[in-house]
Amino acid sequence: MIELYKVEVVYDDGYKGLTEIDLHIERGELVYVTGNSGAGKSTLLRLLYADLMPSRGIVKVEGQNLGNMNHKSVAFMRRNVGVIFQDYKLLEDATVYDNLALPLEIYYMKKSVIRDKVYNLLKMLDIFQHRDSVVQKLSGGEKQRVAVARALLNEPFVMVADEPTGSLDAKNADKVMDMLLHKSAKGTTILIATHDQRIIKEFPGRVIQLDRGKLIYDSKAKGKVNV
Amino acid sequence: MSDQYMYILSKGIKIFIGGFRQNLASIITLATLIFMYLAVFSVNFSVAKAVGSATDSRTLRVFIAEDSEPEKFKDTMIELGLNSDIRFYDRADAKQRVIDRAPDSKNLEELPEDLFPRFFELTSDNLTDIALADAAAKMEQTDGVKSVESGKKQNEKMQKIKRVSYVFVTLLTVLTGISSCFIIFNTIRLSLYRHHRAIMLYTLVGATRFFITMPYVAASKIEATLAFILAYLMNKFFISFLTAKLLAGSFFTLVTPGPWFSLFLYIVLMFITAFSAIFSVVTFLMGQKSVNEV
Repeated sequence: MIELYKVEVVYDDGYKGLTEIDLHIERGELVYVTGNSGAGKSTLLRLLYADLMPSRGIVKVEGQNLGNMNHKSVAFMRRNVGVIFQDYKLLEDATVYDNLALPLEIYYMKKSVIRDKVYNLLKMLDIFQHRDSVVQKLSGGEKQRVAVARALLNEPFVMVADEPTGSLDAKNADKVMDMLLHKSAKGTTILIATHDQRIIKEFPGRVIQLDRGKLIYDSKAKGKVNV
Repeated sequence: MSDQYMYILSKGIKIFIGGFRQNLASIITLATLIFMYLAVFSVNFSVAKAVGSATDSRTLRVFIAEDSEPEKFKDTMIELGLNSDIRFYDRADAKQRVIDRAPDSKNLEELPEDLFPRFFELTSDNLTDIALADAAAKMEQTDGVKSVESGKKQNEKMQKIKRVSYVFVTLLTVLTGISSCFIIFNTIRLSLYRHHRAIMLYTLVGATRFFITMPYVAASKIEATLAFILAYLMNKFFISFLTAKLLAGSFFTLVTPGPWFSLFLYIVLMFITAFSAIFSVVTFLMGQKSVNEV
């Protein structure tokens, strides 16, 4: 479960990223965060993987108050949050396998165990044939599937995706969405920041809309909120 | 737990090998710094050792004039009541005494005996400083005595030189330590910038600071060990060269500190390395604001 109470984010230059956000998201919900550029979508998502701390208010992920955490606790919390970016954030000069081994290395797992886990996931996501390919040689769709695979490896409770289909064609976008919906059906909470109305229509979920840092619409509340 | 150490070591080796070409200059700089320290330390160590063996504070040496008979001084010395051992060194004995104290100095044997003055040596463990000074004053006033050399005075002079030498070495130790810290800090920092993206991705997937830091500590320890071995060998070679060429036949011999001291120095270097590496990584991580920046 994700809970935000009166959350406000003010950047160093004084710009208000978010203002008075109250939000409750149940476990297993698929939530689309929409809004124009600069509305605060990325800021909201960054709060959830503690890449950003609120200036005011409380952010709780699975009952943990992110504002009270030290570095070690943040690290452990992030193991339960999978993050996907529009620009993939992969190691471009490393292989697909090396990119996917990365989240498992932090547990000091044996190489054989890591190999088994990575291979299983690659087969499941139908990208096993790319295991030894260098990432920079993959297409955008393939890269994003690798990025999704990396986010899925640790079986996270929450997944946040910032414009995951933004640079993909419809076919690849649908593949990525299928992967995310599959996880959502298994109880993983998923937040997707997107402009893509087609995706929202084809893969229905709760929609919240931000405008200049304020929550102006929540489909669960059936209408405008907090305007 | 062993998996953890194996991971840290293998990752450290990987970081070291990956950055070897870029870090070679740092390794050579560190090796040169340690070598210079070891060389200066070796020279100081040798001087201190030589000074230590050359002086005996409980000794009085009475040098007699050319035409004086040694026998007439013995009674005077016994009358001093110092209850000390009295030994007379004729020219041959005096020469042999010097040769015994500098066994590697072959050229001393070629010197004529006439160059070595005759003297009495009074030695006692029970001599007080006052008794020694009184005895020296009395003997100086005795006819036929050319000069009197008190071991205590010599020792005091030598101790001053040793103290200066210790202060110098201590200062050099501190400066070498600080310089090593900076070199290691910068080497690790360069490595961190090379792996910036990977580090940020590790933090994104939940890596702790310990997980990120320890492989860099391991890599820096490998680098420092290599530098130390290089410096140690360079010092051995340097000392051997000096002893064989420049100091050949001299009464002064250079010696390197023993293996225990080298081990101690290595352990200190490992502490400095760990501290610098940890400080470098932690301050680097503290400066990273967001994974979105990579």
